[in-house]
Amino acid sequence: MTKEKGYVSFVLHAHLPFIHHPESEDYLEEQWLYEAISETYIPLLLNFQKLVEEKVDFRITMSLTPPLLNMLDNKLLQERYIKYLKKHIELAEKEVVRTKYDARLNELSKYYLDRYTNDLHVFKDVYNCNLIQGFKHFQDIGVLEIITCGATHGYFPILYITEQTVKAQIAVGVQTYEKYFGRKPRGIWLPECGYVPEADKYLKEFGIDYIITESHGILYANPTPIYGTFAPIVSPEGVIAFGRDMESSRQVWSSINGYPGDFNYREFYRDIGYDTDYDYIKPYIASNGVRVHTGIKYYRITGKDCEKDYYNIQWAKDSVEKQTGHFFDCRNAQIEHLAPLMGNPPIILCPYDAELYGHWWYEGPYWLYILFKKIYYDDCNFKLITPSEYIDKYPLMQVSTPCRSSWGANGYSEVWLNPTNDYAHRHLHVAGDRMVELTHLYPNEEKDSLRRKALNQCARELLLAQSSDWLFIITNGTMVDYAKKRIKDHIGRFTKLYYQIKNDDIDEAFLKDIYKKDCIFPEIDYMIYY
Amino acid sequence: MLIKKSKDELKNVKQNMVEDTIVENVSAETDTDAPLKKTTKKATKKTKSETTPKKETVSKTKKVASDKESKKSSKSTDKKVSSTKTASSKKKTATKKTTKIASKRTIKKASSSKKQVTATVEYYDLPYRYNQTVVKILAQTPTMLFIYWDISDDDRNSYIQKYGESFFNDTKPVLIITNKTMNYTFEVEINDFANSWYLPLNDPDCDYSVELGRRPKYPNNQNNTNNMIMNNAEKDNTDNDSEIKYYQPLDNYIYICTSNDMEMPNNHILFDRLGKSVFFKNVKNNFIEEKYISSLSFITNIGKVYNIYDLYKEMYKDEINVEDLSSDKLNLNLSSSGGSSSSSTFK
Repeated sequence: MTKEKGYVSFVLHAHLPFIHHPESEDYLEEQWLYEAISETYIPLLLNFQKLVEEKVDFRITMSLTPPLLNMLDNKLLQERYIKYLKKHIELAEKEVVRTKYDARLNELSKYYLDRYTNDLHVFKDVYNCNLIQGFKHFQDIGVLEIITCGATHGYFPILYITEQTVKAQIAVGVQTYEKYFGRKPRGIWLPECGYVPEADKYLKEFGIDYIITESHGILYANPTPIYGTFAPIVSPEGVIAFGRDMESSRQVWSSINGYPGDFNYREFYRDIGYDTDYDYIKPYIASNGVRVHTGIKYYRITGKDCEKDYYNIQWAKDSVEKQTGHFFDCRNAQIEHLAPLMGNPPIILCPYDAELYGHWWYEGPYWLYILFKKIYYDDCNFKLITPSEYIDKYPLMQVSTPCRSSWGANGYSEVWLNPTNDYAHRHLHVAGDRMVELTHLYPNEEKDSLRRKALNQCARELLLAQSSDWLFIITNGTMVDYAKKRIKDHIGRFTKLYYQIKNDDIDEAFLKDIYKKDCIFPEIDYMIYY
Repeated sequence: MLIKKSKDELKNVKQNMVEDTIVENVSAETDTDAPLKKTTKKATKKTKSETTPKKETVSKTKKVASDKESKKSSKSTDKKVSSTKTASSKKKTATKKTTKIASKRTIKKASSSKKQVTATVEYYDLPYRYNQTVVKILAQTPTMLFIYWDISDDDRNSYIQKYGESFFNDTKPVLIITNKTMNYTFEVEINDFANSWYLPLNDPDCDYSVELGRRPKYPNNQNNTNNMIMNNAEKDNTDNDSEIKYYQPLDNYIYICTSNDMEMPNNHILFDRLGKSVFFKNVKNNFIEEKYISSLSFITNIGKVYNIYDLYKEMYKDEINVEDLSSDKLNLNLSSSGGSSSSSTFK
């Protein structure tokens, strides 16, 4: 192997909003977690394990957001995931019988039966129902770097009108990380890569070394970073920023020739939840009878505007081999070209949503596994690295302030601030101001006092209302009613408590009830808003 | 529970909307993670089921904070709120029958399981307004400012006290935008039907603030004065004992409130601001060193690094929305959230 001339750093952002409804099992949105566990988190863990067993030296970085960590740690959701799996195993067993008429289909149905059965085994027996320990293990052995995120994925460029709310997002993000991983995070995934320089002082206060920004967060920085996105920069406040590489992003994300669109890959939109007889599938779709994705899909993308062919696992694997080869060659060429122009070896940062790998792009986790093996074994001019390792190796970097930016459509705040969702911002701002007001009116309340509990719950409700997911969903027009309801519920609960606290009339039963539902961050201390 | 609503509702987001009501049974135990035994649950927009036998509890919990906010608001707001209330109370009456049946069932189940069951009804609507005098600005894009505002009832009354009953009829709201970086201001006329505005700006990467004020609709026009005199005359007629009040003339701009400051994002590569040197910092020991970049080899290298981005532009020119890629303005459509982002597949 030749000496490395540069580095490639994969960063996967694993996030789901906090969805926890002890009052009902009918919320379809709760399934996002179960789908992500089965299709992304478990496959990633299994592929990491395979690489370790095969003694492949690899590096990967993942952000596990505080809401996701809280959900993965939640007993009720763990129990419901097991129920979800058992239901899927039952359906897959029925499918094995139903598809006997066709050998190819039958083989696929057996594959799904194996897969869900194995998920149950892995979840219960290997990880004892808690996947956090699985990820922590890979961090502890040095192949995975886990970074944190804003407490509830609140979008800083909109929240920072009340700076304490940004501070609280960072503080709770760091505290949650420490709780689960027993150390401080070195990096943070800014929610939606939303960067504002005003957050730097709080990032530093809570010990954050580095952030990830969209490409123009670096390219439009002031003064212009002379090495583009191929080297990190450090802000005057001391926060290091890594920018997303445009070329490698494009190779995955491109709507025309991105990797996930390969004709041999599994077709996301053909699901037996929609394709099979209604009476047959009814017990496995939404309780109100609406057809939904079950996760059992028998077709490959096949082509544009054509009849879909059955999915062939071996063909999909062949495509993975071909594509990883292409990605590998492109990075080699890119680094060969860049290395002579740089002070330090270039770093190609490849950040993606973790849920792209497996959920949307079914073969994604396997793709990473094959690529990492290729990088380790083949003749190559680069190595995998985490941002922390790069900082430690090459601590000299240009001083420059990143550009205010996000990774949303068109690069700024349009996704989270537009005529469909702009009504929400004044409520978020007022609630933020009121939270700060409460901390100054009632600072350092006695431990276990009712008022302290109420103030802590106010902090939880505010954080949950601030989740960027609700604004995103409203813009996207998918589960709009649910997202709007969540904003109303959290602002409503917050406001009600706010008045109860101020009138010294706290309804304990109400407080207990909403804590049951919004039980995120049990250890929160409202004084972070002081 | 998932309730589908039409997309038309997006347009009415600023109005009070009748919201879904969830009726939940909540175990009295404090274990938050334990699955709760449900007796009955949820109601849709059209029907409500209540699981508590105590009607009073329900009505108490239904008093949400938003009502408090609404009470303080102006007359027009009150009308809207009260109409919403009427609608919801009608609904209650209409569904009384269902409620009773549901309650009976619940009691049966509860007694059979010998568990104490309490219920909390939650019904929230966003406050129509907060009765504050405020202007806030946010950057939507480098050249689009989002502004929202409100004037509190107290402040409204004080303007009326000062300038006369028809103050809000005789004046129009304006926004005065100040670019603090380039030191210029301009004014935009808005209207009293709006409470937020999207304002295109010419200069990104600058610090802005916005002032909300009012200007006479008819400056230097006799109408304003007449109106004031008439107001005073009316007042004299109705209340002879009261002191004659002379309102201030309405010829000038009236300041109401100033916004937060907002630095708009930058939208291009700042080659023009690159001096002869840049600074590098060793983040381990904080040692700073200056690098001179005016040498030809350095400039060539920077050029090559940035040429790569031009190359990308060429490579992906067939992509949708890839346009406007001049040498100093990069395409930003690589962003995931707007494309086939995986998070969008969940949401």
